[in-house]
Amino acid sequence: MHTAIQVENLSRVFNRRGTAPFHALRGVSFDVSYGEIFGLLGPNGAGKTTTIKIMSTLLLPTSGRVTVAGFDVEKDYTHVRPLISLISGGETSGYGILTVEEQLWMFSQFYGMETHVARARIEEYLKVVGMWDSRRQQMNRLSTGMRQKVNLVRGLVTDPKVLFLDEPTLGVDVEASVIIRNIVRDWVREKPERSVILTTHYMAEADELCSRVAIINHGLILANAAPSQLKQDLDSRAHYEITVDRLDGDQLDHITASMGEGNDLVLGSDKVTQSPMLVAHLMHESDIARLITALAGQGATLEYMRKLEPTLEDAFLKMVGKRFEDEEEASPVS
Amino acid sequence: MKKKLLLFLRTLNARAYVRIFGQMREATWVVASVLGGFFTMTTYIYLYRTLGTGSEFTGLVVLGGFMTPFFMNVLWGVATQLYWEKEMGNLELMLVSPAPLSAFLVGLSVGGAMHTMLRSLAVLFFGIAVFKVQFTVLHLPLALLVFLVTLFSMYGLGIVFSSLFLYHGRDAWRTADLVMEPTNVLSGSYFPARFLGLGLVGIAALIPTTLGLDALRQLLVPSFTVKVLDWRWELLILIGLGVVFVFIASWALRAVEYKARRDARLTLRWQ
Amino acid sequence: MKGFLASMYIGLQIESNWTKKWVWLLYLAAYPIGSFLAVIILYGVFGQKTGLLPYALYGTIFYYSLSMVFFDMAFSVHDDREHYQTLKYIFLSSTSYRTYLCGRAATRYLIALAGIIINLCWLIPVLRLPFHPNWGYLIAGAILGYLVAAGLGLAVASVFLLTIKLDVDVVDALFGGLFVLSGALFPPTAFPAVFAKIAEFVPMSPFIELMRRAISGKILTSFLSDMSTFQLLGRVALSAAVLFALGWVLVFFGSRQAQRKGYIDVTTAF
Repeated sequence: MHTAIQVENLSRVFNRRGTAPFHALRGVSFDVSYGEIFGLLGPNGAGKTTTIKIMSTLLLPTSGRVTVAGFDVEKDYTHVRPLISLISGGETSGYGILTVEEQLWMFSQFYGMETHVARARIEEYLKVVGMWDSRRQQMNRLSTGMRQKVNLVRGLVTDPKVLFLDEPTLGVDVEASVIIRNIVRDWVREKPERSVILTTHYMAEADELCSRVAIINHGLILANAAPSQLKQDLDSRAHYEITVDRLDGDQLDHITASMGEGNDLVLGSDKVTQSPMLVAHLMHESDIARLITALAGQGATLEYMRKLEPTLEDAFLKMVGKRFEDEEEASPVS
Repeated sequence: MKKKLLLFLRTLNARAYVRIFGQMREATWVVASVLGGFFTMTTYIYLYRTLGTGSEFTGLVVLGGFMTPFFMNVLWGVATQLYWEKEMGNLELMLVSPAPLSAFLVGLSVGGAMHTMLRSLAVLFFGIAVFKVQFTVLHLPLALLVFLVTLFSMYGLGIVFSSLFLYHGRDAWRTADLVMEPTNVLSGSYFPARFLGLGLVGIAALIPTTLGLDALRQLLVPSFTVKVLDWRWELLILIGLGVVFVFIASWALRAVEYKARRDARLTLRWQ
Repeated sequence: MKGFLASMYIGLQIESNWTKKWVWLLYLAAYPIGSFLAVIILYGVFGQKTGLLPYALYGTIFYYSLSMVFFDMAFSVHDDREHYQTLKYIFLSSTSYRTYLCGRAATRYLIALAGIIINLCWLIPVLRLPFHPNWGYLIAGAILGYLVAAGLGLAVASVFLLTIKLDVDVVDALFGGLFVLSGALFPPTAFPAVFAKIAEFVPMSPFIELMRRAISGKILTSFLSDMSTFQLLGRVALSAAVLFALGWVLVFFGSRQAQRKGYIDVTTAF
């Protein structure tokens, strides 16, 4: 079996007293293969956490079906639980009075691990995250980043087949985020039967880690593809930013006419140097050579040029219709 | 089967560890437990002196004072624990793990009982050493058996209650707070339960401390005559109650977990 | 004043919004029963001859009005800091933390008094308790009782601001001790002389005795009998003023020390 998770037509309705039923998921379908890091992207209230809760057996679907490693999360949840682990960002779970080592040992026992095996893995992973020296510190004395590293170790120590990461780098500094991302990537590479489901607010994180991402909004999957594919689908044209020493409107019209239909040129100015700056949307990448020749023909000297790559955020913008941060501010908390 | 049993025992051990060793780090509880035990004992002794009931009564209330902390622990340490675990964000991690909820609760019970023992022993110590209350040690092994069976039955009841806390939030917590003291009174902590009349005792007997205390008083206080039933019958009933509670608890935890998963209550905080 | 009223409202919501209004009203009436049920059985069954039922019942009931406030204020520090994680925002707001605590205490005290009044309505006729109220003393006592309770509550809160883990056993032991010594359940004259003397100076003792006299119209035992009711009122007023001022100052220093130690927003996962 190559499918770690299969989600078929998943719906979840929350009935709240005095308000209309809230449709958190409306027929969501996707699958995740072993060896894959799969991302779920979407603003707050989109349905990401609801999906994770259903997949991790904490919530029942209203309709639809989810299997993890071939087991139905609704009926066979006792078979699912030994195979999964859940790490949520910003969580303060555990017991503050325990040391890091004790806390991790305690959770390993909830998975029935032998103590000597658990201790060896705890040592291994604490060293990987750079927290071996803090193993005897009490949990309530740790910083947010350290606590999140311990949470990650907690999730990995039990060697799950499927790891659910719900905003794992939320509130964590850059350095700790990089460590967490590297560990997750290496962990999946280590064994082919492992997979990760990641929800994140950080587009760059999803772009860097995920082999596929699904963009979800208002309980619907809007797209499901590799990040590179999503970006490519966004626009097939090539985009360049070119700064020159001089260029006026007449010269631009001349160049535009020479470039032919489908190639758009927009003239502005560099914010720092105030030099004329041209943003070119070209039908073919090879058209850049013609453009540079045309610029030279008008007597403009090239000062700076860069190719503009579409980002995952651009893809999100296209799908959801708003900038991610705007969605964040506007959405109700789910 | 062996794997399941090992998982149960490992979970039990780990959860009990938090209660026993984790709490030891905060030394204040030792002082508080001993002082609390002393004040409980002082209250009982002087209250009964004021009532003029005779010295034999003080032996009965020392035993009541000995059992009360366990009763409190069942209600606050076991029954409400799933509510607190949910509020702390631990419940979802416990549920996502393969360990059964009952293993967490039994671990909590074992840890809680050992933690509570200090206060109970402090009550006993002050009763015997300071206030010269006398007990017979002739039936000490039997009394120990009754005590352990009472604990088994009482913590079984606590686990039944805990399933309610899995679904409900502050409403269950408030209800427990409301019934705690009346239940403690009715179970005969402050006086022989027989004085309540058979009707009330019949209802109060559903709380294992009622018959457990009565049996302990028969075995440890020679002058005690106002018993509810012979201690042998009481022991049998307590075993029966314990078994029934364990069965109900195991069914209720599964049923309520399903209901809570369906109604999105498992991770609902500040409920 | 706005801050005080807002705190009272928050206190009321925390106390009541877990259920429907009518269920909460029943709860409010039923809750105090736990505090005096044992007293009725013990004094009604075993201590009939002593004639101390009114003394113990009134004493326990009025101790309850104070203890509810202490408990609530002790727990509110931890609840706001760890559970609801709002303590830091209360500190940042324009309402002082002391005002907030006093508002919370006022709600708790009023809720406790409401429960007491409801229960006295049936306890007095059913148990034929002496009832010759002096309304002036009762109202003055009830107002001063709030200051006593809030003062002690503030003092307790100042200690809990400086502890990062709540130990229920500590609260329990503290109030268990005060309960015994305040003479709520039995006259402290039963104690050895030195403890009986100490009992007279426990801050709650004069308040409880004042309320007993104000409601029953009698001096029920020899405890504090050498003082007239007016003198008792003066004593309660003095202890209320001292306790409230002490609590006010202690929370000020407790808050500053907690800020210095970084305890305002510390979370320890309980």
